[in-house]
Amino acid sequence: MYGMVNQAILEYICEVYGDDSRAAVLAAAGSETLQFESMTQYPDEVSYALIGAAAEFLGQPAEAILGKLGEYWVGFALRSDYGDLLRMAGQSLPEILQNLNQLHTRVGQAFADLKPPSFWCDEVTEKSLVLYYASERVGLEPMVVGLVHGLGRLVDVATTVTPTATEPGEPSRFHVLFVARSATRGVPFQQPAPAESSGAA
Amino acid sequence: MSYALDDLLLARLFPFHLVLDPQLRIVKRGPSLSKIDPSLEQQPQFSDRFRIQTPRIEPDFEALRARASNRARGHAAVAPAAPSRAPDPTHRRLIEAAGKSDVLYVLDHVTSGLSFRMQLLASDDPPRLLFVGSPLLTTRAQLDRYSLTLSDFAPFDCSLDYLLALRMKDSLIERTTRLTSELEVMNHDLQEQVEAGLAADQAKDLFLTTMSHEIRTPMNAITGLTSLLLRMEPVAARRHHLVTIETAANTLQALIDGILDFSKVESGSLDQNTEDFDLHEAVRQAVRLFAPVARKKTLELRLTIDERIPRAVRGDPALFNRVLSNLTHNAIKFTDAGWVEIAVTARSHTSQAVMVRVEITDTGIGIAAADRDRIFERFTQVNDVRSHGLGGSGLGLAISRKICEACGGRIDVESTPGKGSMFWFEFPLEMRSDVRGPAPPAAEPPPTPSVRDELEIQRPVLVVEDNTINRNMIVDMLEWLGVETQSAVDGEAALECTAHRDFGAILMDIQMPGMDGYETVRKIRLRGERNADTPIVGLSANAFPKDREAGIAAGMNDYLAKPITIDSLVKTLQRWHPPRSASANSEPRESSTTTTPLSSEARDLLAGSPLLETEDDSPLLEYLNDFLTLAPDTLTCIGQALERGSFDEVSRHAHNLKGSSLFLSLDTLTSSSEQLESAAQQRDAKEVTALLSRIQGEINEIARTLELSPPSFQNEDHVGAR
Repeated sequence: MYGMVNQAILEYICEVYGDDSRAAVLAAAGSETLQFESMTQYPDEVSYALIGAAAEFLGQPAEAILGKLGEYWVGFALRSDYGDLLRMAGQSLPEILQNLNQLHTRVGQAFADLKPPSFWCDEVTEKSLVLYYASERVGLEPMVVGLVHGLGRLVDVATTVTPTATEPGEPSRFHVLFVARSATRGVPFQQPAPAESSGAA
Repeated sequence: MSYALDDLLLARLFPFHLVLDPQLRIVKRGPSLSKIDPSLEQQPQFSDRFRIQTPRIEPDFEALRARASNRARGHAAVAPAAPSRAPDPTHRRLIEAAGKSDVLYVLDHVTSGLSFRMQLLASDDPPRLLFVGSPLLTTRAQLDRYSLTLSDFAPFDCSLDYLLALRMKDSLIERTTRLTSELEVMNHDLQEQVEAGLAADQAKDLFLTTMSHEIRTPMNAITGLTSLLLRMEPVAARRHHLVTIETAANTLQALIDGILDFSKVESGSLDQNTEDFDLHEAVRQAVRLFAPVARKKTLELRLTIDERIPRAVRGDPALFNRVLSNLTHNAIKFTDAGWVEIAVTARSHTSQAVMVRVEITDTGIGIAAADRDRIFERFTQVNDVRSHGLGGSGLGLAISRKICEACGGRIDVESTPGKGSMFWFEFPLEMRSDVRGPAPPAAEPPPTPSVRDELEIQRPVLVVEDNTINRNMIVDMLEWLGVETQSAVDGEAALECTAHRDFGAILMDIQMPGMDGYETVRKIRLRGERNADTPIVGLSANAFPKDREAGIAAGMNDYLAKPITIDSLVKTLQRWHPPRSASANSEPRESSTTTTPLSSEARDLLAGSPLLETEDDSPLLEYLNDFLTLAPDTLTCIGQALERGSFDEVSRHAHNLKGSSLFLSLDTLTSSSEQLESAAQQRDAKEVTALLSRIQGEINEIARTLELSPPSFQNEDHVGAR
């Protein structure tokens, strides 16, 4: 994965648990790299090790960390050079989700061999949709749940994301419910406030 | 092959399209364009909403349709209409270029200010013009203003990628600017640190110089008076205390010498004096000095020298001895019981060179692994040393390492805490077939009363020294030696004294208030009257070579570093006033001249020498004899220095030769020596070689004129051989 992912993991841990946690997690992950470069590719194992170490350090399941990280990722990406693209992804949750592939494709021009995940939607209504997710990487579904929460915050909707059972080899599937958070409809293109609980996964 | 695009498909493919009817009304528009200008839904006139920026034409339906049709026909013309004849590739490219020139239309939207890059298409049934394309975006603000999202752009539209690239470029510039600014701050900090380091270095140098002077001055009084009192047969009790004082002062002096040596090594001005010596004897002498200390601690001191190592070697015996003594001293110091062994072997040797390896093994306290790398650093003492109350400057090992490295050797240690250490060093030496040179310097032999008889100066000695204690001490020493003295408290007084009385020698302090020693000597020499040629010995607490050189340059003949002892004083004055008894007792020379009166030719040669005025020619002849005996060695040294390219050394020897010639009033030789010194300073090897030959001839001529034995230039190769 690109260093940007590892940067996000460490930044999230620092922001929530303090600067000391950074060194502890890096040490627990056995990482020889102390500063990750966003445009440099690192082995996937490094990212998995960081997640595992963070889970151990924080005493939480890795799935929970991944969920929080997915939610954090939205704000992190908005602050990056590619934030403009994310801001343009759409003005509604379905639009954003349906534009993720286009977003990743355009970002992929800057990141060689990006191997981004694929998303597509089905059964889209005003309040719900079914989200499909496929990736070469395994075990990152909890991060998708957090990501949808984060994107919901971007357009000021509360989200409920429920993974639904799929057959082995099939893409992961999530049932997404969303509802406006306030009467004033969304403040698009604004960076979301720091992470807080945004609905049950 | 033709394709039909319905409105929905057209909207998906071209979200920013426009469809015009023959009246140039906008009858259809893409959804993204409607987002920018909702009034387009009202089918306004094209020219009310858009201007054609490129090409510069007025909108006209038929004209535009004709342009679009021409382009279409242009493409048709390149179709393979005549299969038997393939179109010329150049002709085909020209036709294609002509057709494509009408492809690009830039439309300016009047109300939004946005420009669109469009392509014009025409249809006949119904007659319509179709513009398809996308906005020319330059800032993200343009997107924000019209709330455009990814959905507003066709997937193949690269406008957004261009925006992304722009953003990355801005980001890179911002990051580069930030990093540059950080680098500037870091550079500034580093510069400050460098300056602080330089200031600290200068402070260190200043400290060393000041300390050297400040400590040597009182030490001068301590050691001088002590050595004097020890010779005055004090009562036993006093003698015990005096011995203690002298020992303490000598220890202090060794410490200061160490610091000064380290300063020399650090500044790269370590003097290496290469000479032939007996390696076996040098090691034995050095180790022998430690035998009493080892005995006192009931340590067994062992020495083994591999007999296969050649005795006759060439190198710097003083530096070799310094390292060996440092390590042996440490080994005994840090060993309370057991033994210390010095083993000398050869790590490698050829017919020309040998790498001597010396291992000093002890059964002492040992050194922890963590400390082993640090102990060779300056001012470093490991904890065990401090906790054992074993002092020292912490410079001995640092100096030893620097010496080894400067000489092309190395040094290291193996150690087990609590069991002992084995320090070793390797020192390269040249091989020699026989031993000619002196043995390495050993401890100065204890002064004996006989020294009192070894100084004969016919005229009084002037002592110029502002420090009362030091002045009185030197005067006391000289009087004890039976030399008449006169003293002056500063430069002015010295000028007065030397204007009215001839002196056998002048001892001149350098640092004096008002006129310093350098200035005083310059004035005495320039005045050219009394004492213009009197040997003047500079006295200074500064023991750096540059101080000595400055003294010589000012016109002094010699230099004596404080603290002054009776021995060092006698030795220095003897260089300018050799004792007759010593001459008489020395090896018989090839011709005895002391009774032979000088010929008239010789008197002409030596005209101007103050010594000629005396009734007895013997002293002058003795000096001349000494001079002629030493001259070949001097010339040999010059030749060797020239071969090494050491012009500074050549210059020093030439300066000495000039001083001696001047003292003996050998005018021609003085002039030649002066030229030699000048040629060396200008690093003119050819001129130096020529002058060496000339000087050799002049010396032979002097010997002939004075009817003295011709000097023996043993190593002719080194003289004028280049």
